[in-house]
Amino acid sequence: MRRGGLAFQIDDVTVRFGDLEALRKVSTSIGAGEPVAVVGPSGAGKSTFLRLLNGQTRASMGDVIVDGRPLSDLGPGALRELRSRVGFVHQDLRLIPPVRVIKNVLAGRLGRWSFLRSIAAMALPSRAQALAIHELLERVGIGDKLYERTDRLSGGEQQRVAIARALYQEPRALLADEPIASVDPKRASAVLRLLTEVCREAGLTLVVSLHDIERAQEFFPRLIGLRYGRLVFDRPTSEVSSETLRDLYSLEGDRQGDRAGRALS
Amino acid sequence: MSGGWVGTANRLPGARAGVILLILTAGSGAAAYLRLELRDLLPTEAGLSLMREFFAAALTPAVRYQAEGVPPGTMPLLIKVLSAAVATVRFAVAAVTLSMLIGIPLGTFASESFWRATAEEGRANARIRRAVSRALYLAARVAIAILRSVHELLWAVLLLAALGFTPMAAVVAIGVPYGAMLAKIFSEILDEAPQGASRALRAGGAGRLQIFCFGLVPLALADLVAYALYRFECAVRSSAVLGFFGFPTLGYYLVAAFENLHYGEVWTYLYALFGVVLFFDWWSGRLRRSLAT
Amino acid sequence: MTGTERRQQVRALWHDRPRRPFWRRSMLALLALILWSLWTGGFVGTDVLSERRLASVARFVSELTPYPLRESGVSVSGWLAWAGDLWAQRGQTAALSTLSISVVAIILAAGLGALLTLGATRTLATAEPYLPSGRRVPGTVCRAWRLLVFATRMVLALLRAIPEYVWVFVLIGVLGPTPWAAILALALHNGGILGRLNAEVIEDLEPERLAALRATGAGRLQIAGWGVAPLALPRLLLFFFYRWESCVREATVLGLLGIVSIGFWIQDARARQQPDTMLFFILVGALLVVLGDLLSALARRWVRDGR
Ligand SMILES: Nc1ncnc2c1ncn2[C@@H]1O[C@H](COP(=O)(O)OP(=O)(O)OP(=O)(O)O)[C@@H](O)[C@H]1O
Ligand SMILES: [Mg+2]
Repeated sequence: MRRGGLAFQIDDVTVRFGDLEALRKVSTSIGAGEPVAVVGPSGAGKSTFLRLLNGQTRASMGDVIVDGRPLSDLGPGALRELRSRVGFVHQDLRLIPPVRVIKNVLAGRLGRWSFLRSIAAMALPSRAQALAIHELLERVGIGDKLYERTDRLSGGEQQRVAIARALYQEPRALLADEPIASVDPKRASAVLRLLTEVCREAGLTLVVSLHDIERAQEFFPRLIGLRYGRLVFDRPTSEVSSETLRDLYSLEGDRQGDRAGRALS
Repeated sequence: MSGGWVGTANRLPGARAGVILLILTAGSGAAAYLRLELRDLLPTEAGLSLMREFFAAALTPAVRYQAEGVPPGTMPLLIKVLSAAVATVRFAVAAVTLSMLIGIPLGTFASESFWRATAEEGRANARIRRAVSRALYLAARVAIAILRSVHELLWAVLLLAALGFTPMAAVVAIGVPYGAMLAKIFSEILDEAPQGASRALRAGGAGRLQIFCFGLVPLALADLVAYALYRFECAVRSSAVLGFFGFPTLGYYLVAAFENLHYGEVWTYLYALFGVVLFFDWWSGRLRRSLAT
Repeated sequence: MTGTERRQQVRALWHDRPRRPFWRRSMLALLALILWSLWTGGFVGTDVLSERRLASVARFVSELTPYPLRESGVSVSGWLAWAGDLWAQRGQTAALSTLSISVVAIILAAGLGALLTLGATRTLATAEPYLPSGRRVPGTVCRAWRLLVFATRMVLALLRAIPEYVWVFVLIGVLGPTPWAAILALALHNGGILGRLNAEVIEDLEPERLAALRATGAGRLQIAGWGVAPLALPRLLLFFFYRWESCVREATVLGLLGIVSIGFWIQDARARQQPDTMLFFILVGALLVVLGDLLSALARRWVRDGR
């Protein structure tokens, strides 16, 4: 399934929620097959940034261009088509709680199935599907949970189900919003290694938001720093100094000014 | 109806006292309007002896016909009771089935989260779509309010007058108001279900029907089934009462026995109804508990 | 891992998957029950579409037009005048009686429910509620309390299982067709329901505060009155109004058996074969039910949020 990654271009995008600017005039681009980590303190706009990339959040100003096509031009069908090719790991997981793990993973393919086909698959997953999903689950370390009920799993296990679901989409880009928030440190590195490896092998674009700066530096060659909705830096990891990072997370800084800048009225 | 208000007991004592005062005022007003007098509660001499006989029979329900000289070949009383109970259940089950056929689509249209989950994104005549879905939503709500407000026995009266006597009239009479009730509850269940799953499916490119079927329905299913089973219990009662209109359920035989002054037989029918209701009560309770863990 | 190994492993996982046997069996039983009823019930016959039936439906529909308007032709004002007359003559009293019956009935039901709750609540009806003193309680005493709870719960279940309509039927035989028959019928059935709901609420109360009351030497009834009742009141009021809603609904039909209320006039019109009047009273009943739902929703909000 070497289909190549998707290229994203973010063009002077502002995202507003009421009078709050979650992102402010952000411009950057992410090349096909490139792995990038988005870092920044809580409320910086990381989730908003990721959700922007597959049109879950709409830009109030500016536009996102995916593989040469502006998202604002896509009709419902084209948008669905694009989304079915973008794996998304939500920060709050968003699994279907009362069904078996295998169905949650299968749900990743819904975007590419007709309604009848999806009914058949969800009611009675085929042998081949079960095997493929077992393999995926094994790679994230929960192969034995294939037929477990999803809401009986621990938080970390559920997080890995969400990752498996995104991978099962056979995506051309993978967007993961804090995919290691609730797994233990050792497992966290394994998950990041898996994500970067899968994406490198298949040539997928990978955008991950992370709180864990050290792991971001360890696994990603490029970092995007967000703070109060502004793009603070965007460079190769080797060029991000510890000074810059300290500023990114410092609680004082020019917060006052940023706050004023973020409020519109 | 559920929630943790018990803990807030002392926060709103004023409102509560007001409510109780209101209830008592309304009660005395209503009693005055009806010219209720305790004296009327005392049964007449005849009523008293009837009452004594009737409640005495509660302890000795009949197992054999109380009438003398039952023609040979009549089916034994207990068999008759059993077949009446079976007929009662049959009407109830058919009615609840119909109510699900009515209630599930209606409840879906009457739930906000259905329309939210299935709203189309992207450009494409969004205004018209929104207007249409809004209209369907309101139509469903109005239909529920109207269908629900007419009691099942009144539906039966109407249908019997229109159709004449047919078993279908009984099924429709119970099924329609129950369907509206189910629709109301189903829409509430759907609206209370967490939205995360359906949003995730949408973000993965799933279609609207898929979002509904796999992102919302599984979350509501258990509650819906438990509720439907509880409605079986109610439907059994309603179906027994429809016997008063001539349908061959428990009520029919009960009236006949009462009018023949065979109170022992009346109690046999009452206990049969009790047993059936108790069974469905047990079943829905057990199912609810098995889902909770 | 080879393909065969994986296949075996998946099969093993499938074999050991967590199951919900009760749920599964219930669903199968339900399905069988439904198929059996539809199969043997004869509810869906072609008979419904027979010519005779269709003719009877057509006649019925034509007779829904108010009788005085059948010659002159239907107009909104004509209909309103007809309905207004009917309302003034009988509708108003019938609606108010129905509403009054439901109000008195639910108050009596609450009283009866409260009384039975005392016996049906496991946390109250025990030898030493909320604060075991450590004294050994004789086995017979424990058993007596348990028997009381069981018996009360059976009585509650019986009250619940017998529909209001049947109660009215019996009570009219005893009392004659007075409003009391309808009131008592509603009170008995709903008392059974409220008693059970109350018992569940009270059993879920946190025991600590009540234990403190018990420690001051309060007796069982004092605990119920000064500890339990205030704590559980909001929930009990919510149930009260929720059941009142259903009382209004039921009260509209109880008159069918001869008590002066909406149902009485429906039955009357039915006997005289006047579908127009029948429909009018059915609509009055529906309005009453909607009104009841509305008032009940307002009252419940008042109880819950203080406005
Ligand atoms: N749908 C929304 N409606 C209103 N405000 C929103 C919405 N989504 C995000 N915000 C606001 O936008 C800002 C950025 O939110 P975002 O979720 O992107 O932050 P984040 O960097 O992901 O934070 P965290 O690390 O805590 O997940 C926050 O102040 C948040 O309150
Ligand atoms: Mg976030």
